[in-house]
Parts: sequence; structure tokens; C-alpha cells
Amino acid sequence: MKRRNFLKAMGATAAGVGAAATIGAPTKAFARSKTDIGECKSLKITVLTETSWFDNAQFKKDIVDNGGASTNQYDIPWDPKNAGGYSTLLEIEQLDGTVNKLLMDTGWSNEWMDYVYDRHGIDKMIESGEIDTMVLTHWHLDHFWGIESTLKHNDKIKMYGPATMYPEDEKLLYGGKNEAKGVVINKNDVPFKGELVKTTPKEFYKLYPGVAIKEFDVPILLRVRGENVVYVNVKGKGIVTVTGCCHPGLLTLYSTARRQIKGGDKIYGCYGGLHISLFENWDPKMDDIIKGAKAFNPKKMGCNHCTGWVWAENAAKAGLPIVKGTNEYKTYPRQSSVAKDTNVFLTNGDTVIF
Amino acid sequence: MRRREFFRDALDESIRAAQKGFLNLQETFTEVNDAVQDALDETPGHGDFFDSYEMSYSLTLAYPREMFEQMARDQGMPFEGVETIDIASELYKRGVI
Repeated sequence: MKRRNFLKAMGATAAGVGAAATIGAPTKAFARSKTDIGECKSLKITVLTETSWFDNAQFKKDIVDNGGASTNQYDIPWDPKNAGGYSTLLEIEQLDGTVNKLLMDTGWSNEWMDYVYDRHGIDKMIESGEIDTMVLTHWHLDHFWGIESTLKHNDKIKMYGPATMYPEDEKLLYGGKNEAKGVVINKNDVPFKGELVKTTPKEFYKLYPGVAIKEFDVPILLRVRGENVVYVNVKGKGIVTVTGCCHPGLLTLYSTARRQIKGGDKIYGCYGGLHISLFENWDPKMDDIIKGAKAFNPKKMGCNHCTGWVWAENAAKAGLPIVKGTNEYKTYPRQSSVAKDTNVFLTNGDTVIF
Repeated sequence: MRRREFFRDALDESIRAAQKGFLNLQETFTEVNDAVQDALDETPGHGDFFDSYEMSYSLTLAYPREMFEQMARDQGMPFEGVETIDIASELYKRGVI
């Protein structure tokens, strides 16, 4: 599909959804049978850490100097001083008032993740079983290599990870270390003993009423493939996508919700990395992503991590409902080199409720 | 049966029959629509990642152009004047990414 056709289709579909809502029930007769993931009352997100690395230039240099973006992430002797991590706490309030806590991703540096978990009491939640499940969005270093920080509090925590894992991923998960050019780049002294659900794109994995995982098999650089996305259906409000990096693309996620989830024609918003301007580079084509997102009429968009501050600023200027963060991140011991006072990112320590 | 009751019963029966017919019609249309949607979803090329920048931006726009040029150069692929999405697509076909 060419660019113009894509945008035209996007507009037409949005108009179609509007018309369907106006016409009412009879149009449902012709809708595709969709997956019912149920409903929940609300979703609270706590940004445990979205600073996967602190210096963009150093991260890029590590990639370029070691063969480029197609290089296996396990073959790069990453600068350990630059390692942070990505991790999120989801608190899902059910219609009966009970709350489910779900951990998404486990960061990169163990030292950083230990600090983050202690700061937010995640360590104790994992130990007590209050958190008994973790969704690993994908096998990238900044989302997975800090696995020891989670497992040392419960080595049997239930995990969902994309089936597209490599031997090095397994080695780290089940206890071991990896070296690149003679340098130890990660380690895990606590072998995983729990259940790993290897996700594929064939189905929705329902976790709780209103919460399901969908895996998208998409190409990702640094020899990684596939990403899990958490879909949350908030009663009366609509679908929220929660992502690690959103490698499948936000417009694809929203289109998938519309086509495959019951109630998915109503998009409420998103949280997470959107992977648009990773190194703060700007391309005029990125305006089309803003236009595409607007066609879905989201009400609340929380973004950070790999989204790019430049894109979030432009999206906010263009009228997308970007949720602004606070200065809480400045109380963390380290900050990202690209953080700005515009606060268009939900940064470390921020919360948002859908 | 009085005349009025006769017509009322006849009307009720007609409505019930029409409703049943419409429900059957709904079911048939839904099944056909599902089959069409399934076929579309499974058709190679439908909604392909590399069809547009809007579909593939997380790969083709998120990284600086020079990174794709570096990968293309390593593969001996021409890249000057070639759209980034086309370079990425070719790299994908070659199993580089």
C-alpha cells in the first residue's frame, strides 16, 4: 500500500467507524467476530524506569563501532556505565474492585534495576507474590538483561516472552553469562525455574478480565524479532495499548484492536515507548504518524523511552493528547541526556491512570 | 377467534418469521464476512510491514539513515538515491535484519 493510499484508507476507516457508531446495532451484524478480552475498571501505570540508557550518543556509538545495527546485540561490548533499563508496573482494577499487579520488562543493568525495584517496593511485591507475572515485551538488552534483579526475588515468577528467543537469551534466563569481545556483558546467577509462555501471533493471551497479550512478529534490529503488546480494555473508555518499544508500530496496534478485539473500535490511548525518533532525528514523514494516530481519536497518550522527545513535542503541538510528566525523574540518581523541560515524556517515577 | 385477534396473531407471526429470517441472514453475512476477512488477513502482501513508512516507521524512520547505509555498504548493495524503506526491505529479504 502506498503512502497516500494508506492515509486515505485510514481516514475512510475512521469515518466508517464514526458512521457505524451513529447507525447503531444493525451494523454489528456485519462485523467480524472478534476476541472478547473482557473489561476492567481502570489501569494505573507507574513508570519504574524508562531510561534504558543515559547517553544517546554513546549508545549509538556502541552500535556503529561494532558493525552496525544488524549486529547481534550479544556481540557488542556495550559501555556498562551507560546501562539503565525499561520496566513498568501495571495495576489493573477489576470491576469488583480487586487489583491485579503486572510487571512489564526487567531492565538492563542489575545495579540500576535493584535501585528502581527498591525505590518502588517492587522487590517486596515480587517476594510476597503480589506480583506473580511478568510480561517480557521483547528480548532486547534494555528490557531483558536485568532479569537477575527480578529472579532473585522469585525465581518461579510466571513469564510471557516472544517465542523468537535465541540461545544466548536462554543461557541468560536459565543462569549464565555472555561475553562480547572478551567483556562480560550480562550475567544471571539465579536460574529461572518458573513457566515461560512462549507467545506467537496466533492468539490473544488473556491474563485477567480486560487484559490480554498479543505478539507481533516484526523485524527488529540488533538481531531481535517479535514484540509482545498488552491490550487493556477499560470499561466505558476503550482500548489502551501498553508497549515496551512498540516495534510493530502504533497504527498497526490500533488497527489490530479495531479488527480483532471486541470493543476495539474505541481507542482510549496508549502508554510506552513508540519507537519513532530513537536518536531524536526528525523526518517530515513522521508527521504522517501524527496524522495517522489522530485518525483513531485517542484520548490519552503517555509516551517515553524510544518515542523521541522531538516527536512527542510535535505531536502535542499538533493536538494529540500527550500526557505530560513531572520532574520526579530528577530525584533519580541519573537522568537521560535528552530529557527536556517540556515534560512531554512520562518519565521515571511518573504515573498515569486510564 | 375474533377478526381483530386473527389479524393481530397473523401480524405477530409475520414479525417473528421476519426476525428469524433476518437473524439467519445476519449469521450468513457474518460468516461470509469472517471468511473474507480471514482470507484478506492471510493474503501475502496484505498489510505488509514494508508496504509504507506508516507501517514500518519503527524500523525505517526510527534510526538515522546512516545506519541503513552502513548495512547496505556491508552487503554491497547500492543505496545512493534509494529510499530507506527499500534498503530496509532488501536487507530483510537477505536475512540481514
